Amino acid sequence: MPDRKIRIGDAWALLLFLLVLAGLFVTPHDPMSQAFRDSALEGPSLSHWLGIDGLGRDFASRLWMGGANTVSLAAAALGISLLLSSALVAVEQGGPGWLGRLVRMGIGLWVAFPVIFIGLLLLVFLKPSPGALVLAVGLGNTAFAFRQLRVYWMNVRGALYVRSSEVLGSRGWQLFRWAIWPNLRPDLFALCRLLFAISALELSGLAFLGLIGDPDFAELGSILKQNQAFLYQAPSLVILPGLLLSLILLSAHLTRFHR
Amino acid sequence: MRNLKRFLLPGILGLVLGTFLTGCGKGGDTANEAPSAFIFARGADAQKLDPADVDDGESVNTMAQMFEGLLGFVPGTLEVEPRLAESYSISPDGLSYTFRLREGVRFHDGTPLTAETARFTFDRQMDPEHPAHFPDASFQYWQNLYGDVERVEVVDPMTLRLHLSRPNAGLLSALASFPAWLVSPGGFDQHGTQMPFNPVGTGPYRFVEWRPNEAIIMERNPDYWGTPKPGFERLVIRSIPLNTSRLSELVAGHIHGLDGIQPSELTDLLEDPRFAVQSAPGMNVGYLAFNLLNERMQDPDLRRAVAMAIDRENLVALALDSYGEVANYPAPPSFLGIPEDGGPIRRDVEAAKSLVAAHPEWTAEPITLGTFGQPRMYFPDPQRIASLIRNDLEAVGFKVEIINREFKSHLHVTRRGDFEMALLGWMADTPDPDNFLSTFFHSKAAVPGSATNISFYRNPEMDQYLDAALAVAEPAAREQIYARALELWARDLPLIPLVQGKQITVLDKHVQGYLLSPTGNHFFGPVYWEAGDPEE
Amino acid sequence: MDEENPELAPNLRRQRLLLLLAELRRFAVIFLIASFGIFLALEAMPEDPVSLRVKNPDPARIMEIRESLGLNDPWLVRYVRGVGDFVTLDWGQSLISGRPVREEVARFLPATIELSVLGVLFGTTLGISMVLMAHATGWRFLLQPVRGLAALGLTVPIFWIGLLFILFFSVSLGLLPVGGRFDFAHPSPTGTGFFLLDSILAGNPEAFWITVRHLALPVLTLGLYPAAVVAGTLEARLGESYIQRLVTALKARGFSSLRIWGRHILRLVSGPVVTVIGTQAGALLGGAVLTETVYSWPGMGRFLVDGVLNRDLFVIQHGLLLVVVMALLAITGFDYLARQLDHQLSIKPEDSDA
Repeated sequence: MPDRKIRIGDAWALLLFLLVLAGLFVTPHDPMSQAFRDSALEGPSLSHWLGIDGLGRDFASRLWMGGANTVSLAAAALGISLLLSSALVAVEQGGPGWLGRLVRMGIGLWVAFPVIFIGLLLLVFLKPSPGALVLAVGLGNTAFAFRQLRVYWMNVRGALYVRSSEVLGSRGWQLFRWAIWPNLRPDLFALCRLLFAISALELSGLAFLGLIGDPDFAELGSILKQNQAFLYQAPSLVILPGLLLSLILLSAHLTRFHR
Repeated sequence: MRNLKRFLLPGILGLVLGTFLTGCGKGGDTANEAPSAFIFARGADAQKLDPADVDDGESVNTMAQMFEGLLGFVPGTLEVEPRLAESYSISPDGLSYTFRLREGVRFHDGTPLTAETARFTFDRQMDPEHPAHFPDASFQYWQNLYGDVERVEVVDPMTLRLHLSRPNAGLLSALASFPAWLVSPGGFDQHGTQMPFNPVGTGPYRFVEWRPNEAIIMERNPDYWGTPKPGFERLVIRSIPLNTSRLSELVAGHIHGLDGIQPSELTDLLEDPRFAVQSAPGMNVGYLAFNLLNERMQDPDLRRAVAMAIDRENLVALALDSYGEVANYPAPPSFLGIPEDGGPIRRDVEAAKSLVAAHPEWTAEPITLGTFGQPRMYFPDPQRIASLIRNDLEAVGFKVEIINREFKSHLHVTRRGDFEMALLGWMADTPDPDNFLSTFFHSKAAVPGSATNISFYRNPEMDQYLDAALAVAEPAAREQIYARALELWARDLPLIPLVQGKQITVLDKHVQGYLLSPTGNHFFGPVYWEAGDPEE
Repeated sequence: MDEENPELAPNLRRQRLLLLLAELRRFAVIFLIASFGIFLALEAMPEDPVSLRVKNPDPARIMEIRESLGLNDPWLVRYVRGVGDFVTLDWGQSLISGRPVREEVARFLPATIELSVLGVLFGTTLGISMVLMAHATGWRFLLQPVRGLAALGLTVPIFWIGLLFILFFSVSLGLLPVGGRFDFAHPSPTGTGFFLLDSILAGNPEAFWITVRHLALPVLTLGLYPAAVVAGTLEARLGESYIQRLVTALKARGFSSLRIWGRHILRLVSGPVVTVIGTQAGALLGGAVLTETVYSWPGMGRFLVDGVLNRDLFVIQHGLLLVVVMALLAITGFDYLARQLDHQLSIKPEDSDA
C-alpha cells in the first residue's frame, strides 16, 4: 500500500515537471506579446484560461513560461552547486593532503557568505540578469552541497560492504559503480531535491527584489513583482505565481524515488 | 508517514480562500475624534531637505511644510502673493525688486527674520565662496531660474532688494518656487554640512526627526505667524515603496492620505465612502529621449520610426489607466504657445516597419531603453511604460533591451548621456513654456553630467528662438516664436512626448483644507481634521 | 559545571584557549578574503561611482573628488586603507545621500537584528514545541502539522506568503499594521535603536505594544523557515533508536512525560538544533531581506540592495563587509552554543568543521 502511494507521488511530480518545462517550447500564446491589450485584466475565458494580465498578455502562457523558467534556472543553479561541490569533494578526497586541508578551510570560509551577499557582490560588476542570479544562487549553495556530499561519501566509503568489495578486489570504476554508487544515490537524490527547493526559492526571491534585470522576464518571482500593482483588481495575477511555485516545490518535496 | 504532508496543500488553499472570502471590504471603525497626527505616505523618501539643492518632488513635498519664500503661490493656483514679504515693488526698469519683510516672524530655531538673515538663502546660492555653498551641491536651479540676479542688497533691517542684470518677467513666480524658500542661517551655524538633513525654516510645521526610508516626522510650529494655524500636533510623511502596500495601509486605516497611486486602484477607492480622491491635470510631460551623443540615435529616420511605432493612446489606457492625456507637444496644452491639436506625431506602423526593414544596421544589436522603478506623476509605473513601448517597437521590427535602474541612478545616467533611449519626465516649476522648452532643447542645458536636455540636442537656431522668446514680453509675439521652436522640434524629434499624467491625491474624508497645487506639490499647512461624518 | 572541577581546569582551559585562537584565525582569514573580494568587485565595477554622483561634469572636478576620497592611490594602499577604515568604523559618506554610512547603518542595523533575532527565536520555539508536544503527549495528529510546517518552510516563497498575510490579517481583518516598524503618530522610543528594548527601558507600555503589533507579521513570516528547518531536524533526531531507548528507560524510572521530553530529551537535542540554525544563518539573512521588502521594514536589506543598484561606493564596501562579519559572528556564536549544549561535539571539535 505505501509503495503505491509513493509511486503516485513520484509519477505526479514527474508529470508536473515535464508539463511545466514544456512551457519553454509550447504555450497557448506568446507569453511576451501584448496582443490582447484591448482586453487587459479580463477574467478567464475559453481562449485565455487564466485571463489576460495588465499589459495585454495571456496570463496562462506567462505563468507556464514563468514556471518553466524558474524550474530550469533553479536546475541550472543546482547543477552549478553540484558540479562544483563534487569536484571539490573529489579533490579533497583524492588529492594530496595539503590540498584537502585547503579545500576544507576554503569551505569553512565559504559558508560565511550568504547567497544574498554573493548575489549583491556579483551585481556590483555584472548587469542584473537571469544568468547573474543563477550564478549567485549556484555559488551560494556550493558550500552547503560540499558539506553534505562529503558526509555521504565518507559514510558510504567507510561502510562495511564497500570495504569488503575492496578486499574482494574491486577497484576504481568497478568499485564506484557497483558498491558505492547504489548506496550514494538515495542520499544524492535527497540532496538534489533539497538544493532544488532552496535554489528555486532563492532565485525567485532575488527576482522579486528586482535583481533579474528585465521586468518582463517570465519568472515566477518577477511575474509576481510585476503584477503586484494589480493585487486588488485582479488578485489571481499575484496569487497564482506563488501558488504554482509552492505546488512545484511541494511536489518535488513529496517524491520518494530512492526508497 | 510522509504522505501526511498532503495536508499542507489544503492548508495553503484554505489560507488563500479565506483571504478572499473575508473579502477586502473591511468595516473598520472610523474614529470620529481627531487624531493628533496626520500621516501621509508616498513612494520614495526625500533626498535632501535643503531647498537650494534638491530636484525631486519628494524632497520638495516635505519641505513645503517647513519652509516658505518671500513670495508664495495662492493655494491651489499659480498666482503669486506676498508670503514672508509683506509687500514688494518692482522698479520701472524692471531691474530691482524690493521686498518689505513681515515683522515678528521667527525661524524654528528662534532666529528672527530680518533682511540680513533672509539674504543668507540667496548669498549661499550665488556666491561660490560662501561657506554654505556646499561643494557637493549643484545649485542648478539658481542658474536656471535666478541667473539674472546680480546682487542682493540689505536696504534696512526689514527691507531686501534684488538687483538684476536684465529684466526677467519670470522672476516673481521663480521666487515663489522652492529654491528661493528661506533657510535659517542659524541652522547652518548649528549643523554645518549636515544642514540638508536638519531643515530650519519658518513654515507651519517644524522638523523633528528624519528616519531614512521610513518616515519624516514634523510637529506643529506653535509660533507660526500665518493663518490658518497648523491643524495637527504632528505631521508624519512616510515612504512606502510598494504601491500596493501604500494602498493597503490606507485601506486598513493606518494612514490618512497618499499619492503615487496606480490610477486603476482608484475605481475601488472612488466608491469607498471613507476616502476622498482629488485629481487634476498635472503640469508635466513624460517623454522618451534619444541620446544624440550616441551614433545610432543620430539618425533622424530611426527617431521617426520609433515615434511612428509607439501607440501613445495605449500608454494612457494601460499604464496611466486613462488618468492622463497623450502628450502631443513637449509641454502641456495649457501653456502659452502650445497648440491644442493632435500634434505632428502620427502613428503609422506600416511606415515604421518599412523604415526598419530598410535599415538593417538599426537592428544589428538591440537598442537599450532605460527606465526606473519609482512611481512619478507622469509615469505611475515606469517599467510598465517601458514594457509597452518595447512591445510596440518589436512589433515593427526593432529589438529592444530594457535597462531598469533605481530612479537616482537613472537620473545620473541620463544626465551623463550614458544611454540610447531613456524614459523620463519633467514637472514644471513655473507656469511658463520656457520651463519645458529650454529645459528640453536649449544647448546650455545639454552639459553632460548636469543635463536636463538629456537628448543633448544642440541647435543654434533653437537656442536663438528660446532666448528670443524670453526677451519678448508680448504674449502673441512669444507665441509665434515658440511655434517656430516647435517646428524645429517636430523636424528633429530629439524626444518624443508620451503622456501627461494627472496628479492624484487620496485623503481620508475627514481631512479638509487640502488643495491640489498646479505645481504638483503638497501643502499640508492649512489641512485640518473635520470630526463627524462629512457625508451628512 | 566543568570549571568547578580543579583537576580538569588547566587542561580544559588550554584547550579552550587554543580553540578560541583557531576561531580568531579563521575569523581574520575570512574577513580578509571577504574584504578583498568586495574590493575586487568594486574594481571591476563598470561605472565610475564618483562621476555617477557628481552633477558637475568637469573632469578636473571629478579628479579632485577622486583625489580627496583617495581613489587615485595604488590598489594596495586603497585596499589596506579600506580595511583600516572598516575596522576603525570610519566608513565615509554615502555618495548618493551624502549621509555618513556609519550613521545609516546604526539606524538600519538594529531594525534588522530585532527582526531576525525574534524571527529565529519564534521559529525555533515553534518548531521545537510542536515536535516535542507531539511526542510528549503521544497525540499523533499533532505530528501532521509538524510535518506540514517542515514542508511549508521549504515550499512556500516568503514574499508570497507575506503578501497573503498582509491581505488577510491587515487588510481583511484589520488586526495588524501593513508594514513599517512603528506608528509615528506617537513619539518613537529612542536609545539603542531596538524599539522593544527601548520601550521597556523607557517604561512605555504603549510604545511597546505598538512595536509588538508591527513586529508580529514580519516575525511570523520570517520564522516559518527556521521553524521548518528545526522541526525537520528534530523529527529526524527523535526517530533515532537511542532516543527511543532512552525514553523507554526514563519512563521505566517513572519520570513524567513532561519531564522526559521537556527536560532530558530537549537538552539532548538542543545541540544539533542550534547547529542547524547556525548553518542556515545565511539563508535567514536572505529571508530577512525579502521580509523587509514585503513589510516596508526599514532595515539593512533595502539599504544594501539600493546601495548596490545605485553603485554607492562606501555603502557597498562597508555594508557588504558588515554582512559577512555579522554572518560570521552568527555562525561562530551558534557553533559555540552548540558545543556547550552538545557533548559529542565538544569532545572532538575538529570534526565540526568541514
